[in-house]
Amino acid sequence: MKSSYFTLIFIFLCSCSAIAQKLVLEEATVNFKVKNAGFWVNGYFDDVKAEMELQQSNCKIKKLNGKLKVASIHTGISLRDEHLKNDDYFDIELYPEIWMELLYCEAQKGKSIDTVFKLVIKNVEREIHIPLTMERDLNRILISADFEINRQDFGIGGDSLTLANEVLVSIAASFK
Amino acid sequence: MRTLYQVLLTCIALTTLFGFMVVTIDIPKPYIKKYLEGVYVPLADSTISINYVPEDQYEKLATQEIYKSYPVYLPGREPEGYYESLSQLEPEVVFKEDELTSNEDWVKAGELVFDYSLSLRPLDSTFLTRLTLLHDKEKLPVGKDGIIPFYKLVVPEKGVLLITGRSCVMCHTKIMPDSSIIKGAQGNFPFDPDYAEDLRGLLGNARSQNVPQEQIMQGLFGDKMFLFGAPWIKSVAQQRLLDMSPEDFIENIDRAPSGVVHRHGTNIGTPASIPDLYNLKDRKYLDHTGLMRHRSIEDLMLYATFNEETDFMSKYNDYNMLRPWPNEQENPMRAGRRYSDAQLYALAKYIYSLNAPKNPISQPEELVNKGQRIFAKEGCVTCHAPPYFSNNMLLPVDGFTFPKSYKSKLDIFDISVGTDPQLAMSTRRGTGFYKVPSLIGVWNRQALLHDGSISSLEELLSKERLQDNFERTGYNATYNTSQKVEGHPFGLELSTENKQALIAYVNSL
Repeated sequence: MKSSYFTLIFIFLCSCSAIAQKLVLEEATVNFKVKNAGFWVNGYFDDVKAEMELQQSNCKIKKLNGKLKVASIHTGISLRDEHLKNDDYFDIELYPEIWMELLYCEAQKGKSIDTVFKLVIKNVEREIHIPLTMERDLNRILISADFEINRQDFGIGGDSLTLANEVLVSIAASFK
Repeated sequence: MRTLYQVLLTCIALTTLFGFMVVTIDIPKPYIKKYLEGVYVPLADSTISINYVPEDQYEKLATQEIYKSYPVYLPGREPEGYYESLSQLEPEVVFKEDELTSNEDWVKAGELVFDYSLSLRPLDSTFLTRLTLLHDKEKLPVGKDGIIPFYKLVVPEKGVLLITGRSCVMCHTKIMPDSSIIKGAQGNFPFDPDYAEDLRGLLGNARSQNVPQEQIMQGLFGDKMFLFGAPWIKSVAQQRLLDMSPEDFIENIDRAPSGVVHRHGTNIGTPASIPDLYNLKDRKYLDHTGLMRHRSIEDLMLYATFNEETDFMSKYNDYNMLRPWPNEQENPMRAGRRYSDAQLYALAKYIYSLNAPKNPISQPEELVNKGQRIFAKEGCVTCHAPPYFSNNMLLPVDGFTFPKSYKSKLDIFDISVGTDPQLAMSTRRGTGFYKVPSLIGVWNRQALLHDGSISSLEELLSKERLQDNFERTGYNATYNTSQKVEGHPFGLELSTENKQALIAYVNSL
């Protein structure tokens, strides 16, 4: 009887650690900046969705996906935004969304987590390494990340004398 | 001694060879299939092809002899006995391709072509009176010593004085406020007011003789079609051209301010601002609508020959707008003339040699630097990219959808900036695109945008120009119900200080 009692507790504890905790996205921003003629052009997307699940694994994240509507791009110049939507750049008719999916993660010291995401832009898939920061704030989980991509890897715009290829992306999200 | 002799012989041989090479420079032959193919960008209605005069018939057009020319003065400012002394001169041919050896020679010879014209008319009192009239109306600027550089006097035979007509110099020469003359600039000859004066005289005569309105309209029809007709285009603009009364027609011509011209192939009320010719070698497309490509010097030679007279013979599918081809003429002498390949080559060399003068009014360095930062941050730099301050691309206009295949054939920056699309859509020169203009030398342009509807950078950056109650200083057609100037909405929200800095920078280019 005593042994079966301990077995039940053991099974309960095990199942507790395996249960994933689904979080609800509160807010997310995806900012980017790229140099044009030596000066930073800042922009952001404001239609962003993400989902996250935590678990007691090495990095605590079981699932982390995000997608955004490219049509929600803002760079401060509306005509430029329109141009970025056409097939010279994002081609939103064919590729209305950008999405990314966590493939691998490993906790580092403190709040840092090493991750690898699959990033898909215009049907081009790339695995990219992203150092992520995750922290708790009261009952929220806050994540943030900064990384760099090459726009030409994804067919966003062609060669340009003024526009740099490197785009710095900055993501921040809070989950509850 | 023998070695010295050998060296001397080698030097003589090399010099002879070098000299021979210079003298026998290969003059490009542009009017051949290799260059003609693809030189025109497709028209907005791509079912319409431009059928230019065939090569063999082009060859048969008479070429122009270029005689020594002499200045034209504002009447009363010429040296005493000027015309009498000219009438005593023997004619002198000055364009002699056999004598052109160096690049400098070709450039100098090109300036002669720039100043000359294919059509010449006798010097008469009507011409001189017109000059006085235009000057009195403060429309005709005059250079130092009373010289009017837009015309030249020519002596083709002793005792005969002719005046040059339409020529490069008429549109692309500017007399500055200090009376200095700058060639290659956006010109300030009052082309349209001059033409309007002509028409007004003719109309006045017709009215005084009670010529029926229908007959007057018929008489004007020829001019309308010659300059602006594109009957295959079903548009309000083309219909307006047909319906417009003579008085309205003249008024719309007369309204063209300095730097704006109703050149052939535009439309009434949709004139073109005159481009300057600086840094032309680096530009990929010619004309506001990018009608002709510029891939090599041969293309520039083709542009010159087409726009001087040859495109008067072009057919648009079956439409023959202006002149029949030479083999269709009853009298081949009416077929028009052309410049020789050597003359076109020299002209192109001259145009390539033109560089934008620096703005004589220097701006504070700090302000210019600030303006440069704003230029980049506001994204101006994307279209007006250094070093040419144009990305050399074509922008589709509102209402134009181009085939996807164009993207691999043309340099397209696929966004409309919303400027008036009429020139690109409702004219013979319309391709559905406007090219990105270079900003080099913009400080010296008095007519901005493709149609000269804006006359200053301050106005371009003013939000008020988007309002119905805006009062234009640039070109405005009589039929426009509002004077607002739409499109190119960049920089409108900048602070006054930032606008000043941006303008200071752009004016420094």
